[in-house]
This record gives sequence, structure tokens and C-alpha cells, in this order.
Amino acid sequence: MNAKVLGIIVAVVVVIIAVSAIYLAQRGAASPQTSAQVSPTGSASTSSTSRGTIYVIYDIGGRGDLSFNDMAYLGASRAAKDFGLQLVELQSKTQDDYLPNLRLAAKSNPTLVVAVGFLMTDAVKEAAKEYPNVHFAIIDGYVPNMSNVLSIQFRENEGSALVGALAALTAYYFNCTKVGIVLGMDIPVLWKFEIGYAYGVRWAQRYIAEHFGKNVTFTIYYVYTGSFNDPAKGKQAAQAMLAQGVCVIYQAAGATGLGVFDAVAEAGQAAGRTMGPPFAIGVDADQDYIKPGFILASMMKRVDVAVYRAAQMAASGNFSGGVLSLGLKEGGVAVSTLDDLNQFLQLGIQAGTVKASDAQQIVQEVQQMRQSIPQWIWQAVDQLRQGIVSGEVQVPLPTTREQLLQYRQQLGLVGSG
Amino acid sequence: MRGFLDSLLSLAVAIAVGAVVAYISGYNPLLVYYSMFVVPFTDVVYVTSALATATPIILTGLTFALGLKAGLFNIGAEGQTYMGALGAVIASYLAASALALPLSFVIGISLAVAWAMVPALLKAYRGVNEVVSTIMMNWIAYWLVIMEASTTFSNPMQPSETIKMPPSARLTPLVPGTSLTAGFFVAVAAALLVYWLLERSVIGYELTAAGLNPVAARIAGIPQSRVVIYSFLLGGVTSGVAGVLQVAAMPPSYSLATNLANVYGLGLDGITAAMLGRGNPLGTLLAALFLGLMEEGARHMQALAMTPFEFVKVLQGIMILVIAVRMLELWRRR
Repeated sequence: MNAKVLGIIVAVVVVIIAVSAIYLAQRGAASPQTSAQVSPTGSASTSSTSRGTIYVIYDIGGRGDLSFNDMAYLGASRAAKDFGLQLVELQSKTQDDYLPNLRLAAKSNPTLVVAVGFLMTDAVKEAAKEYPNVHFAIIDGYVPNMSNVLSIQFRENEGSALVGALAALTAYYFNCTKVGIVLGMDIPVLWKFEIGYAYGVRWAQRYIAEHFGKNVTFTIYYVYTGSFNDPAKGKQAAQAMLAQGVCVIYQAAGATGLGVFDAVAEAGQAAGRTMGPPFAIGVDADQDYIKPGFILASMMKRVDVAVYRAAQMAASGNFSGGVLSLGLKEGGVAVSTLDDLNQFLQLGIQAGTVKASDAQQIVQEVQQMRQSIPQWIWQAVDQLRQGIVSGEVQVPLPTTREQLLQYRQQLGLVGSG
Repeated sequence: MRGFLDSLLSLAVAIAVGAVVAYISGYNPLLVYYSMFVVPFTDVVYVTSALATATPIILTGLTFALGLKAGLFNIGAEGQTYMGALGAVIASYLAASALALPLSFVIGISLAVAWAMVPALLKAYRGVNEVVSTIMMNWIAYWLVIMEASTTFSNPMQPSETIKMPPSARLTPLVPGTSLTAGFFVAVAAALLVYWLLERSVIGYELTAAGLNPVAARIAGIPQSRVVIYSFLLGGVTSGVAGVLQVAAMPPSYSLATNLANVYGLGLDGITAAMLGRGNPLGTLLAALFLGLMEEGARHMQALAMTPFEFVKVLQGIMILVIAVRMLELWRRR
């Protein structure tokens, strides 16, 4: 009896070892640089303790999300190299992991602890209270009145103005005068997207009048879906806009916006096209890869720039709490480029979420689409960017509902759905 | 005693295999196990964090242990935990005062028990296989709770969460700066209570008898239907409490994630705990504490041994596999 038990155990052990060896051999072949990277840093952590440490606490989802978490990694790894810091990454399985992860990081006397994403606001507030001597930075969140917390915010209105201009000029090129924006919940953060976008569209209108002597009046539709995680709702909203003749739709609705991409790509494919019009415009990360050919560009929040800047402040001893506002001037927001797409896909390949062969295909399709948009449009958008950077052009920023309604009327936004 | 030695042996084998896997993967096995099993004990913050992680697993483990004792495979802890958490959210919605806490337990446990009763009644009176029905109930609960959490009870200020427990109704940390709340002691009390029930009460005797030999139990006058219903009822209560505590006693969120991230998988972890604990409530308690320690250890493995986050799951999987082998052996001996 006992011999039999032993036999079974040995058999299982052998099978496990064999399977894991095969798995690891494959993985090792696929990404030799990752494993090579890990071990030296691992051993360095035990030998030299004098080096400062930068901790990055990821949101649920972690690396490979091709969004905030990956960008945070990018910024942190660059900062680690430039400022001689050791990078330690901690994943969060659920929101219950945020606080324990922050505490772990804070206990080791780090140079900086970066919390990726506004979902960690509560946890950062708590951890910052418990560890007043540790420097924290929270991306996209707001923790007021704490001298050891840097709240990094983005001037989304500026980036949205650029994609607004891009949307309107592209629409004009395709003989269309209607553009739209699909938003998530009706909260102050999103007002920045709505008004910034509309401002950009009106700027483009003036640009067209100036350069082509044509008076075009764009109709700007907007809709608040009331949710950030309902792609079906986003699709419905986008379909309603497309039915009204809208040809470029900007989404600022989180996962709800994925439905906008679906609707736009389906409408384009139904018309027998492999690229827009109609077009969608992505948000937050470089989303051009999601429906290649149908996503004109994305309004990126450069989390990598944000993390790098915070690390720079902490490493040079200039860290101070409060709000760090990043706009076009600081490179905190930007319209995605083909280089951004390449970099993102590389990150995706590294994290195992994108296949190398798919990446090549995606880049080709996006490149083709971008080449079909005339050069003067990109130049015009760049002109607006320069205007905003130099301070010549001021993009309105609504902070109260009264202001929102006022800007909405001024810029002539039309509610949809 | 034999069972305990069995578990210990499986653990040793699993750790040995895990060390080999860690070594092949290019991580230092010593550093891996040091950060997993030693570092969590070096600081009260880490220990309490492990206990907080173990809390819901103890309770869902009891659900499976109660089923196992009666010869039933009750996989329903997962869905019943969702329903318990939903109950706490409903209570927070209805009452904005300290009243929300008792109300959470009432609504949460009622919902969880209701969820457990469907497969129980189907099994007792229609002979429907409980594995199939509980899994199906889990999925129904999953989508139902997601729907409710992201519509009626969603938090306008934080779209990924439901509304929060009213501050006066929360179970706050007993030691400031840690995550240890009264919830942990509720779970331990539940384990002791279930142990007493199974070992010392008539219901427990009937469950055990039916579990050992259903035919003999029926002939002795213990109806199978009663056994099924009691086992599922008690299991529903413990899983319901697990769900309520995830909302009422988890700082600083005190809410349910709209994608259920903070309750997802707890029922399955409970099955692991009950299997490791060989269906004994006290064994389940110990096993759940061990799993909590591993989860906390995973955090430190990331920071010290630089292993990916999923690596701890590999080790857990190996352990469960090894233990499953021993379980088969136990059954064959019967």
C-alpha cells in the first residue's frame, strides 16, 4: 500500500517537473532578456542596500494592460536607469491589496512609492498618514493637504483640443461636418474632455476659414453614457451618432468606449472599407491598435512622463507634496504617434499579451491609415499644439457646472441620444 | 493525527517541487521561501495582513468542509459569498447609520442561504447533482451581483466600486496601521462553532453518519434530505458572513468592486483550504491561515525574490495536486 502511494507521488513529481521544465524552456526562449534582467537586479537587492528604491504599485490588471500600468513601468524603468535607483514592482490582485502593498513599500524606506491610478486614492491617503516620512506619488488621483503626497494630474483639456482639431479637419477632408464625443459619467474630470474637444473643433473651423476661405460650421454631438464599464452602451451611443452622419467620434468613457470602436469599425466594414471614415479617437493610452485603421489617433496621458518626473523630484531631493499638473508643455498629454504605437506593442509583446506577428500587421494597417490622412492636417494639429505650449492659445477649463454650461453654449455643443 | 501527518508530508513534497520549479525559473529558492514564510512574521503589519487575507477563506472553507462531512461536494461557496457581499451593499444603501452593520448580516446571510437552498432542495427532493447545480448558481450570482453592483448600487464618485459602508457601521482595524478587524475573530469563532456542531451535536452526528455511509444512515432513520438541507444551510451562513465581511471589514475600500475582484475566487480558495484541512473545521482553519500566509508571502516574493505575482499560484497548484493524490488514496482504503 505504502509503496503504491509513494509510486504515485513520485510519478506526479516527475510529471510536474517535466511539464514545468518544458514550459520554462519555451518561455526562456521567447523572452531571454526578461529573465536575464531579473536575476541581476534580484541579486543586487541583497548585496547593495545603499541604492535608493522606487516602488511601483500597479492597479488591478497590472503589467500587460497596454495602458496606465505599462506606461508606469516604462517611466519607472527609465527613471531607475537614469537616477541609479532599484525598481521594485508590486501587483494588486484586488483593491484589498493596495494598502498592504503600499505599507510594504513604505516600510523599506524607499526613495519614492508610485501608486498607479486614481483607484488607489483612499489607500494612498491612509498609507501617507501612517508613514509621513515616505514620499508617495499618485497618478491621476488627488490627495489634498498632505506634504508627502504628490498628486499628478493631467490637463486633458489640452490634449482633447488637439484631437478635436484632428477630428474636425479629418471630417472636413472627407466632406463631413459632424463630429461627436462619447463620455462616461457626468463628472468634473470628463468636462475637461468635452470642452477641450469642442474648443479644438472650433479652432479647426477658424483654421479652415483662414487657409481655405471656406466657412464650415461643424455640429458637435456629445453624450454622457453614465458608465465606464458598459461597452454595449458605448456602442449604442456611437451608432446613434453614426446614424446622424457623424464621421469622427472621440471616446472618453473607459471600457464603455470600447463599444464606440466596435460601432465605428463595424460601420466602416459594412461600407466595405478596411480603414475609416468613420473614425474613432482613443483615450488615455495609445488605443490605435484596438481597431487598426479605424482609430485615427489617441489622446494619451503620458503616465511614463509623470512617473519619470516624480522620480526625478524624489531622487534629486526636490520632492514636495501637492499637485503636479502636466499638460502639452510638459509632455504629460499628447496625440499618439506611430512611434508610440510601436513602443506600446513592444511592451505588450514583452508582457506576453501581444503576439509579435500581430504587432507587425497592426503597425502596417495603422501606418497605411495615417498616410491616407493628408500631411497638412497633421501640420495644423501641430500648429495648435505649439500655440498651446507657448501659451498663445488658452484651452478653456471648466471647473463648475455653471462654467460647463456656459462653455457648452459658447462652443455650440449638441446633446445626442 | 494520521491526516495531519499526511497534510504535512504533502506540504513537504510540494515545497520541494516548488523549490525545483523556482530554481529552474531562475529565482533563488531560498530567497523565495524566505520571503514567503519568514518575512511575513517579521512585522505585525504583515502578520495581520495575512490574517485578514485568511478571514474569508476560513469561512468559505467551512462551507465546503460541511458539505464534505455529509458526503456532498458543495461548490456553491463562491456564489454565496457574492450574495453575502451584495447583502452588505444593500444594507449600506438602506441605512446610513451603524444600523447598516447588523442589517448587513441579516440581509447578506439571508441571500446566501437562499442561494444555498436552491441546490439543496433540488438535491434533496429531485436528486439533482449538487456539483452541477451549485456551479450554475455561482454563475447566476456572478452576473446578478455584477449587474446590481454596477447599476443600482454603483458609487458615482468611484465608478469601479459600489457605494461604501457607512463609516459608523464599519469594522475598523483593531490595531491602527494594520488590516486586522474583528472580522477575523468572527471567522475563527465560526470555525470553532462548526467544529463543535459536527463533533458534539445531533445534527453533526447525522451529517457525519450520512457522509460515512448514506445507505446505513438512511436505514438508521436519518433522511438524506435533512442532511443535505442542514449541510447547505450552515454552509450558506458561513459563506454569507464571508461576503459581508469583505465589504464591512476591509479597510480602506469598505465596498464591493463592480467586477467583484474583492470576492472573486474566495469560494475556490475555500475548497483548497477544506481539502488541505481534510474536511475538518479546525484543519480548515489552519489551512486557511496557511493560505493567507502564502498570499502575504507572495507580496514579499515580488519585492525580494522578484518573482512574478502568479508564481505563488504555481506553488499552490502543486500543493493541491499532491494533496489530491493523497485524498484518492484515503478513499481507496475505505
